[in-house]
Amino acid sequence: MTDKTFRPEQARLVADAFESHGVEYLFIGKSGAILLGYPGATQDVDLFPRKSPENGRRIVSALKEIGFALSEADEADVVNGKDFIQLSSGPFDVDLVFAPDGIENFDKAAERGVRIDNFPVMSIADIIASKRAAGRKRDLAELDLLEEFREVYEASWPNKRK
Amino acid sequence: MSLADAAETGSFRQQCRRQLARPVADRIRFGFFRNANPVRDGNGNRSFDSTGEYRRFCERNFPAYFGYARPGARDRPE
Repeated sequence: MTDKTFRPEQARLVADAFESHGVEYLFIGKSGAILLGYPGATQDVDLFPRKSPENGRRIVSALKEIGFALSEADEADVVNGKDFIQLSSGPFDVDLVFAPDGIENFDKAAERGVRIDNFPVMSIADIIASKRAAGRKRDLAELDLLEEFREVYEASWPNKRK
Repeated sequence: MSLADAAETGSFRQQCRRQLARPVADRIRFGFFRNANPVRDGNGNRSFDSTGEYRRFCERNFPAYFGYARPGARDRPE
């Protein structure tokens, strides 16, 4: 076990750093659902960035600023937007998912997304669709609860975007 | 739906309502944790050309009880 800890201020650190560097991205997966208010728990942060060299360079700058050690190869992977990147060389774990299952493209997901404080978050409908498309046992086991949450969430915000 | 299922669903919905009423900082405080995580088995970074390649990596390298395999995928012997 490492001595890493995840503290609330670190989640905000990601959001603040990405915002200040102009990164286009969404919190996705269970971390996104938790930000929306889902009563679950997770150990890492899943982010869906727009795939472009410019956005990749912004991500590299932001991650280095908050303490991630990135090799030249790591930086190239981010700038080139490899579909799935797991980063464990920082103060906490981050997954960069440039091509999440079940989501057609970043623009459409961002259009449907919501902003909670300064956290841009994928819509709960897209989070569920992506987990359903991933089809892993750990995802399928959680779908019923996510659907229940979606009903409560949508009922709680009748006049806001879902 | 059985009475037990209905009660469980009602209880979960109450949890949702409570969590939705909390500020984001509390959602993070209750929702994010750090624990021994064998999937992140070191401080190394990994990258994959496709999400499918990542899925196959997980199915080949992690035991079935981690839940990273898709139903029907060949599970690694435990």
